[in-house]
Amino acid sequence: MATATINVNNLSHYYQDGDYRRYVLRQVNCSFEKGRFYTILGQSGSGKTTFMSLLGAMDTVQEGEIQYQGYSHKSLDPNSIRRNYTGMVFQNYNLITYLTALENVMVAMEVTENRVPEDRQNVAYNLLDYFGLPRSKANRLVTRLSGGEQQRVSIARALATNVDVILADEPTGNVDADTEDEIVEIFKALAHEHSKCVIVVTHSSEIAREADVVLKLYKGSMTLDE
Amino acid sequence: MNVLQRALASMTRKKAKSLILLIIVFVLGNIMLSSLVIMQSVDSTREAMLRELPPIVSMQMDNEYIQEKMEEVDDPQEMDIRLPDFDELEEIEEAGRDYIRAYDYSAHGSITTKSLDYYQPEDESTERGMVEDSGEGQYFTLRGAQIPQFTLLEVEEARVSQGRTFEPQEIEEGKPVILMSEELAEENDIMAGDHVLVENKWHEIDRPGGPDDEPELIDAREYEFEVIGLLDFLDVPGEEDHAHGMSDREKYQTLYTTNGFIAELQSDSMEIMRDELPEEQREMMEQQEDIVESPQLPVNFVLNTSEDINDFVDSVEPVIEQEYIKLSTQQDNFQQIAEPLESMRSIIVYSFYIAVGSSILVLTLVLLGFLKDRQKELGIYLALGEKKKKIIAQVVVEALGIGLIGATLALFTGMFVSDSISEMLLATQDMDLEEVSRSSSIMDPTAPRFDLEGVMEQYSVSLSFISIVSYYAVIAATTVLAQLISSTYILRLDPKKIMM
Repeated sequence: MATATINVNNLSHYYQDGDYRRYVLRQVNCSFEKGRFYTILGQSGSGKTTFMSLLGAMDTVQEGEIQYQGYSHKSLDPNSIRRNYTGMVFQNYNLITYLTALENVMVAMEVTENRVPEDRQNVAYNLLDYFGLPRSKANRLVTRLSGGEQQRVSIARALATNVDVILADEPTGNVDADTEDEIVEIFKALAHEHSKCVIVVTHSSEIAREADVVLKLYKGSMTLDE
Repeated sequence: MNVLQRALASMTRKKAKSLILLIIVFVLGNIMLSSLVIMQSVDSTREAMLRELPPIVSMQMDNEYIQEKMEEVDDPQEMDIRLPDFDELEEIEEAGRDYIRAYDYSAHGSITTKSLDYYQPEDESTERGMVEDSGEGQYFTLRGAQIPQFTLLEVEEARVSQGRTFEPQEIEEGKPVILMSEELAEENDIMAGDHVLVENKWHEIDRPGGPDDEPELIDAREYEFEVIGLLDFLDVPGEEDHAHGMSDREKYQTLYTTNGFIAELQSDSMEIMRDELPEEQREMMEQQEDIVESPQLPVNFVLNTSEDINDFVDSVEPVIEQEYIKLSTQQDNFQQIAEPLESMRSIIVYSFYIAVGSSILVLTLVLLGFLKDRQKELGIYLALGEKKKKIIAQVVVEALGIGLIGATLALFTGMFVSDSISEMLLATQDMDLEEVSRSSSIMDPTAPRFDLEGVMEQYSVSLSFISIVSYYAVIAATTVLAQLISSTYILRLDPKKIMM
């Protein structure tokens, strides 16, 4: 049995509206393991982005607990979680526009405290090459790359920090169908060939079909889709 | 891709923002540099002029203060004016020990004698008429010295042209040795090394038959002086512009001797006159005896260097108990004589602070605008887990880098700007100032030894190493401070709101 990389215990989250608490997540319990490709399916407003932001330590846990490799979120600094435990891939890529693809990847290598090879530039080149971006493109400003290429840079950046968990929030939202397939293949490869725990939030059932595990979020409650 | 590399990439690749910041810093840099250069130039002029002057601080009566106080009280006699005594002088010496090379004070006395002839300066003989012997004899001022290189020599108002100055032992023992002007010596056919027998006469003060009546002689005593040296009085810069009618006459007719000998002479005088005086005047004389127990003001402290003046004044001022005693230096004169420059400096100081304040404000607003424009980028760094202090360090390095480039460009134009501002401000100043009143007394080391013309000749706008260093420091501090203030925005950023 694989070791759980992330354990979610009784996680609830609400928005305060005067005296009224509007819960977007209710008593969510689940765990995520290395080497598996997860998708979290849900409609708009189901709480999937909130769930993702809590896993990625972009938001503060209000009730319940998230454990990262056995460490409670309470004992970890949110910055440290983002730096050393998770890598995020966003729908709109979120790359630094005045840097090249290579430099965007190398920024993440500089930020993390995880062990990163000393020859960072070559590693970054290889990583980008692996995702289909040769040196000529790696040295371009990201604004001069296509949407699909930018999303690959974004995935490479998430991976560059040598984390076990890749979190992706609607990663194919801004790309065409062919690129979507390619990106899904990348995620599958990361999980199966590189033993990463890949968690993708999506509303696309096509992507969900490719996943090892599909979790469904409906009105703040999570269920395992058998 | 560390913080410095990121900052460099941001500076060089976001050209429009860098250029805007560069122009702002360039403009502000010109204003700041001109202010600093003008301030520095006035300071350098003052320092250069004061450096040439003897490093003397003079402890003297603050007549303006006394005058003010006297107007406040009903009966001026109520004012208890007490001079510092020798014990207090010792305390002052102790407080300023690190800075004092020597100190001098000069007891005053006089002799009336027919044994010496007056020297009549040429201009005075024509303009004021010859001084005539009233029949009582000629009146000569005596000035005492406490140190061999006494104030007159220290301030270079005179030099010993023949013979020598006092020996420490002569001063200690109060020997009747004198230095006199070359002119007076020539008039009386005296050479250095001569012994002169002087008969000092005391006359009755009251003249019952009116001013033309010859006063009755009370007593006469003979004193033998040794003329140890002759003095050549030197031209003092700035002196010619000031009214000091008594000064020349006083210069040539004064006999310089030891304080101890003047005290002995005063003691003789009191002894002779005591019985002759009515009771009221006798009381006054007894009071004067007390004054002999105090060093005669001004007491002139000769310091090691001119740089010590401010430190010395700071150390000594708390020890001086009397409010009506002040410490005067040539620095006070500079502020009065070079008022157009000092006034310009004051305006510039205010403008400088205003420029720095406005620069911080303007830069803060501009940099805050830039940060808001970079919100997404900052959110990405936060989402990657970058520490906020590192993000702030990056933006500070960026602002500082561009700030220093802008400052360097302003360095080339700032000199022209300072020259123009300086000329413009001086043109608004009143250069036709009233003459500074100069003490009629010689041996006043704080009498002005320069004039406005000399000061203006010395003044030039120039860029010193200190100005450059100060300028870069101010620009750097202003930019960093502005960026730090605007960076409070980064502290409030929430990556979730930006990224998701």
